[in-house]
Amino acid sequence: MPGDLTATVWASTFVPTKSPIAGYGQEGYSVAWVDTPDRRLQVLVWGSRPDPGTVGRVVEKTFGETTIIVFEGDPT
Amino acid sequence: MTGVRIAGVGVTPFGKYGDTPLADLGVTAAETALKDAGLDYDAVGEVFTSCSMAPPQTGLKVAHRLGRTGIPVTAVESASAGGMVALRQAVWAVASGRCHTALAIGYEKTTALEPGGVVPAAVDFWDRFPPQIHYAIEANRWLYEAQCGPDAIGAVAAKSYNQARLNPLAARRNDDEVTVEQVMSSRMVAEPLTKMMCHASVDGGAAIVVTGGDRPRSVAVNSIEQTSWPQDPTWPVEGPCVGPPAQITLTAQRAFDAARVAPADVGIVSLHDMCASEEITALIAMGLADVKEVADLAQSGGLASGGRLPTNTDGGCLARGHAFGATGLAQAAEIVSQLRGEADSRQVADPRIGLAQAMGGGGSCVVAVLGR
Repeated sequence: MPGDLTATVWASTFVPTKSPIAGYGQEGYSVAWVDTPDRRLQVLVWGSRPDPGTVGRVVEKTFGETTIIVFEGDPT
Repeated sequence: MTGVRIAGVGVTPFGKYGDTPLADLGVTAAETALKDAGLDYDAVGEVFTSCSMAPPQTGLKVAHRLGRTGIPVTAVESASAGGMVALRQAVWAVASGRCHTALAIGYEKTTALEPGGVVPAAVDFWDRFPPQIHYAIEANRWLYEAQCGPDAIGAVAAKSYNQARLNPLAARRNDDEVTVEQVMSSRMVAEPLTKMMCHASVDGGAAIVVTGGDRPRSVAVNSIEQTSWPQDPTWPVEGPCVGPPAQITLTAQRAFDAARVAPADVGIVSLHDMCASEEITALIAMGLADVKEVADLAQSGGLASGGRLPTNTDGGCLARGHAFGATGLAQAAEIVSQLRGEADSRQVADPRIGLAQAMGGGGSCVVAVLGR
């Protein structure tokens, strides 16, 4: 990812099972569709499930040898 | 598409078939459809088969068991839309004048893979996650826009289970009426979708005979349109999942235009419901209901046989079951039964125009408008 992207949540879901990514979402995780300046993306969520309209950034996070792209809401 | 008609339909019970050979499901469905049409296999000029996970050449095996008449046999694969893709090929084989009678056959075994069959490998990042995720996200957006609770989706699912109780061919047939509370209390898969809101993968076969002339009890094919996944920057998923609602809108609009009907003319609907929420989003996308109206329809019984917009009256993929390559033909067969007035206890009052819609993973969409 060339740099952090500003993004706004369109909608999201919470999956109450263990994520397949070691070190991430082992007790459930959220996935969101977020609108960026260019297009809508499907990304994992860092933190609790965001509501539509939540503003934040799309960033990279690394878990062991796996790097994933996540949405992280701005601090309120 | 003047003069092209569906003369016969055949559907096997959907469910688990264990060691039953896959080809048997196609042969049984085809023989049932030919008998329903009052035709022998010798009358068939072309065959189109549909299956997603069959060993190679299964379509020829099915056709050869029906008769070695030397006609063209073409296998199509388009995931959940495959059955209706095969139907469209059969319709155009007749409409183009290549033959007078064509046969579309779908068959699938998902609960016990046929030896030599094919299962798609998980290769992309999102393949490791539950396939219901994007339906769940769409569903949550709809709940947000419609300003209603998830029990509206539960009502759609409960309706489908209760319709399946009236369908002797359905895989999930509960002894007792299914309530919204039961649906809502089943295991959560991806919020707001519970397990009972998600389809049942099953085995089954379905077939349809298409002819160029009128026959007793036949139903007109007013249009059948097919699209692939169009460019849409608002649809952020790709790979083996379905295309965007905009694709459903495009396909349905083409089908309405070709049939010279409006959404308000449709009296019975069969659509692709991998999850109960897809029934909602597809009805909206096809212009059959708006964002808020569909919640009222779901919760007031408006989507059941006796409702204003009867949808998936055979139980749909949720409860009739989803036998991928056969599903689209089973959907169209239900519309034919309804238009003939032969749907027994799930019969809709006097439908004149019916619509069948199928979506396939990878991005095929087919919409057929059928009429009396």
